[in-house]
Amino acid sequence: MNTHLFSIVTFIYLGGMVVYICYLAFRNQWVSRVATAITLGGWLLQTFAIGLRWYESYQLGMGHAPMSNLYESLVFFSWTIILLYLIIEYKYKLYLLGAFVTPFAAMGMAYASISSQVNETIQPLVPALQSNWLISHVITCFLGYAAFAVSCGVSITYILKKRHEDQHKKGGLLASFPSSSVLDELIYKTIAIGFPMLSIGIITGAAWANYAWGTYWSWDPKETWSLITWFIYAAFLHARITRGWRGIRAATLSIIGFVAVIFTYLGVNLLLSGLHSYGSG
Amino acid sequence: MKNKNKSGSSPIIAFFCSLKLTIFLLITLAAVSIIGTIIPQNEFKEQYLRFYQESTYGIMKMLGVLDMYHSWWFRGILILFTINLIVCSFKHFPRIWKFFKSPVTVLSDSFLATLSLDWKSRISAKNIAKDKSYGDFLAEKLSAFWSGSWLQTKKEGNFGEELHFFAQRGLWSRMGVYLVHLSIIIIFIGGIVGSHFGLKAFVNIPEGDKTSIVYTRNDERTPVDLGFTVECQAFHVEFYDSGAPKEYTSDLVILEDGKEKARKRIEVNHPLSYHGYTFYQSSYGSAGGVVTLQMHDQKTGKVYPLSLSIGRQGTLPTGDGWIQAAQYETNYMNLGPAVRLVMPASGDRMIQFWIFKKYPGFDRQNRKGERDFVLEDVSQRNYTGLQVTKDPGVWIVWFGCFIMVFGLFIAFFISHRRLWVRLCPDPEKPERYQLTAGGSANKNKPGFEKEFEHFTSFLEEQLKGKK
Repeated sequence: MNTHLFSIVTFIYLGGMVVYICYLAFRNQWVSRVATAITLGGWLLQTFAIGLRWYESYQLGMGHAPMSNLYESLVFFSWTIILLYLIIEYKYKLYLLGAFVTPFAAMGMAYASISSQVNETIQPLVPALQSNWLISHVITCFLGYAAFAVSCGVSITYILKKRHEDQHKKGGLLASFPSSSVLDELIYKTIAIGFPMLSIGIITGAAWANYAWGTYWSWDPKETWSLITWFIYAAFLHARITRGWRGIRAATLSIIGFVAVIFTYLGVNLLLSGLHSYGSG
Repeated sequence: MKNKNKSGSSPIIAFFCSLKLTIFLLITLAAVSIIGTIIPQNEFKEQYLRFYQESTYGIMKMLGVLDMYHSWWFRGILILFTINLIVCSFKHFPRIWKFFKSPVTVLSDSFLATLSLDWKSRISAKNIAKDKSYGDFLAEKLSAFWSGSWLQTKKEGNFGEELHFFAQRGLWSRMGVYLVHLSIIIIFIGGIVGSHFGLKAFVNIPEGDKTSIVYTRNDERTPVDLGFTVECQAFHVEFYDSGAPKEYTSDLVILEDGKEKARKRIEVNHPLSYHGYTFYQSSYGSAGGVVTLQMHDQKTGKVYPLSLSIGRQGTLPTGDGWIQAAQYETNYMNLGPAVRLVMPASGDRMIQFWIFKKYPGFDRQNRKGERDFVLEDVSQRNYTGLQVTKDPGVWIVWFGCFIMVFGLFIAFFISHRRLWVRLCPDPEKPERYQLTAGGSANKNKPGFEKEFEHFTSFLEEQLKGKK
């Protein structure tokens, strides 16, 4: 039942994405309202479906939060991206951003629904996952990932806009984008959410590992890649206040950072081996 | 950041405290860390030789990439990073300390020019109650804003006495970044303490056995005496219908000087701690079988119970020799469960023979020895795999993590907001005052802009009597 709803959510997000892209072209307020309404509707349905999946896991006698395998994490990932995006849209009225952020959520959901690598069934928890750390670790990591997804979307927008400004071009689609300084501020803001969340995610993971395996840090590929991501965003935060690194270079670091996020999240499980293999099935 | 190379500091210091070095080191750490996630770390030599040539293995071993996170060069980068962090923090700290020690409390025109938010107005002396000085009047009005934490300074200006008011919020957020830097050093210290004074070991204990020796996890597998005894009284494993393990638990008892000191059923995520050591449920496996026998002594007619671990020698119950259950087959020669026993015979000779569970009289009839054996049962026994650690640095690490999270939150989410108000006589009209306000925030500037607008309309309302 819940997987059926998630498939519908995938189409809704794809629809929202298309309307957001239309808004980019037409700049009509009503288009943006429709885009927001579609996306919000999809998000509400997704929230309901996540709750339903949680409930169904109890019906099946397993009873665990829907955050335990790749399918569930992809669903949760796109859920947090949309949640964070809707908050930012509401706060900053930056409807343009939707075209750059909703694709991440739509792709996440589509990958979860379509890929044969992703098992949709509710699976019981293996012993290592039976812990109260599960929810706090997963929520903080994915809030971080979602913030980084948004910042990556803004960074792409920023680089396009900045080049446009530097060439003193007038007109065109890019002319209607918010100024590069507004976008720069927004990159910083989203990373300012993502970085503490990633830090807490790494710390809760370390605390959990210490509880389950007796060591808080073992240079496991998942741990190492989360640290690599942390290093890159730390470099971004310092680049932003360093002459010669501000602007496009810092924005590029934020995009590289998100590539590292994706590798930490998906690449490690799909390509490398290690202790943290729950997310691969 | 300004390059203060000319201010006399040595080029070495300038190199270590440059933010460019910080960025370079962070990117380098990120890049080299990838190596260890691609090349498997700390495997046995044979494992590597399956993928690499002997010479390649030698080079990799020499470069330290097979244990790169503990290699001299990775540690070198970390040390350089730490030096950079400390030197940078010390260099920039005085700039921040100024906000604490000598905040700008006077709103001069030159200072106002540096602020992003300013506001100017004039008020008439008529609006001020007769029995009050305008300073007291303004102080009273301001006390309603930002819970009245306003600092008043009197200054002789060009056109008479000027009054300056200053208030700030979130000053402590300036410390956030230093707390984060400090936390990294605390975490490093915790890690160093753990690796020098800690222990990472493992031990496998078969059900019903006990041990006081564990083995280090490094290559040497050095035995370590715990100084007390751990007994695994029972081990259980449960599976889901799919065959995946649901939970596995060990009933552990800690014994010291023969007395029970602690007892816990441990499972994954629920370890047992005793005297600084923590025992984690890490794995399990088969410890082989246990054979339950009866020994019939034909001379005395006595019957002795006897149990043997498969593959190990055991003493005879009569104490005058040994016996070994050398092999167990579930269906030997289609005669059902059978065990091959080995015993010393006369001289150096050994005898071996099979006994069958289904045929208790077989050994007596077949061998006709002084003692014959009856196979009663064979049971499989599990061992519990325990991870044993002692890490006196772990609390230092958690303390560092706590400081880091706290520091990150105040650094990112709390803004240092400052407001200034200046009241001075208007040079053009004696019964009028010039009112100037300035504001500054180091974070969330759009948010502060709104707050500043709110503040100026508050001033307007209070001082001009506008409702």
